[in-house]
Amino acid sequence: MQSVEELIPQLKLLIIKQLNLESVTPDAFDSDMPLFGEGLGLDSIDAIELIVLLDRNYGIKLADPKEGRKIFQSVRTMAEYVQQNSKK
Amino acid sequence: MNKPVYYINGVGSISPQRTFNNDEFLPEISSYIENKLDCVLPEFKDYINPIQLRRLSRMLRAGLSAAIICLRDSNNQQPDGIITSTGDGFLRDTNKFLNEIFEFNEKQLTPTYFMQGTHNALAGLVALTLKCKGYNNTYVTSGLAFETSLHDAMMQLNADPDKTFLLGALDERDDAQYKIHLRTDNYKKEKINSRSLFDNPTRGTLQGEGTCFFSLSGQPGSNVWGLLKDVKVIHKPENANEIRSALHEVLTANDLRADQLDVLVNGVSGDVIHDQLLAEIVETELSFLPEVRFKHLCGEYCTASSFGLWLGLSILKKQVIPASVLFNGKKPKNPIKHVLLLNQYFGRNYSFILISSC
Repeated sequence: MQSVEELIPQLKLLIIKQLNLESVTPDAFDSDMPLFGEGLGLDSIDAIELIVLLDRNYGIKLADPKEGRKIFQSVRTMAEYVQQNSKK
Repeated sequence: MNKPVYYINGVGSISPQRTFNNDEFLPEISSYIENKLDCVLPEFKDYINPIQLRRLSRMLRAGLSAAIICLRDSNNQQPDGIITSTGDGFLRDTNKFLNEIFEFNEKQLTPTYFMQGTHNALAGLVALTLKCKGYNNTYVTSGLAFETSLHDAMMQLNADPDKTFLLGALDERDDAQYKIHLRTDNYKKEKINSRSLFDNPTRGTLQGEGTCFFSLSGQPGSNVWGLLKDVKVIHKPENANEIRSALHEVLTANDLRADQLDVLVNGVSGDVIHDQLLAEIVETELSFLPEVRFKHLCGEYCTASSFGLWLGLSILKKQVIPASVLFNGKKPKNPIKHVLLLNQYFGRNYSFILISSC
């Protein structure tokens, strides 16, 4: 099983690719930066893209939107959730 | 009763040539050697908010930029309605979405490709960007989509000439579509330089793409490019006489004789079969006119006549014909007043668009 620190760079690359973040590099993308609002500025369509990303890459199915709010706070919270729930 | 007048008050064009700057008129010609012509793109950040830019596909960016160029050109940032046309829509995102359906067994599908793959994605995007809550329609009638959207705009302006409509056309080149059309001889089997399209009398044409926007109103704006006088379409004519009759109808309806026309913009595609009827019409009815061709610059696509209209309007506005488009070397009258565009799409759809100076 991968550690949180191993998952963070992997998730950063997946997010940049999936959300077409052309001007963002993994190094400039802080692991604790908020993904929505003030931080990376993602929106509700991006949230759906992130749900699909977790499903395709880690076999995690999110059904409860409230759960998503906590998981998608930052790349680190995503990595922690993946570390605990990945089915692949 | 007086015939309604339709002013074209602004234009914006992004095509396989450098056409996005309205202060220039075909300053340099791009050549293509693979029978596929891709758009020469502007710096999108000049037209689109960087945050909005991220999610948009290449041709949605191009379409929105062309709309903004047109609005800036017309000095009217807020149209009353938006009408777009596309024969094949956003082919690349449609194909990505279909491939995902197959790859992921109809599950785990992402929303972006679906949203951007729909034919009316551009009309919706422009409306959202401009916060335009008025009339919004998209025509998808293959090789006559652009002409149908022109008819709609004309009818809307007949009802209320004070309104302004932003009229757009867009089609995107795609490799999967190229392979299909290659098998049906619609594209050339042999590789040629796009500039020599009309030197090769063989089957097929070149695959192109592009997007053009026009601001139409029953009232003149501060930067009028020309008047849209008439649009006529013919679907699958049986012979050249059917096209000849339509030509005479257009001229008669606008109190013109053929010898009063100044320039012919000919939408032949370089396909020796599909061009036959237009070649016969030009030879028997319009051979004395300066003949301008354009599909060596933009390739063939469902809404390529919008590029032809952009070219005709540019000739009217700037009163010059660039050497790169003048086919028969005949000098135009001075001033150039009436331009007739003839187009054909894969030998199925034919159209006439008549434009005049004010």
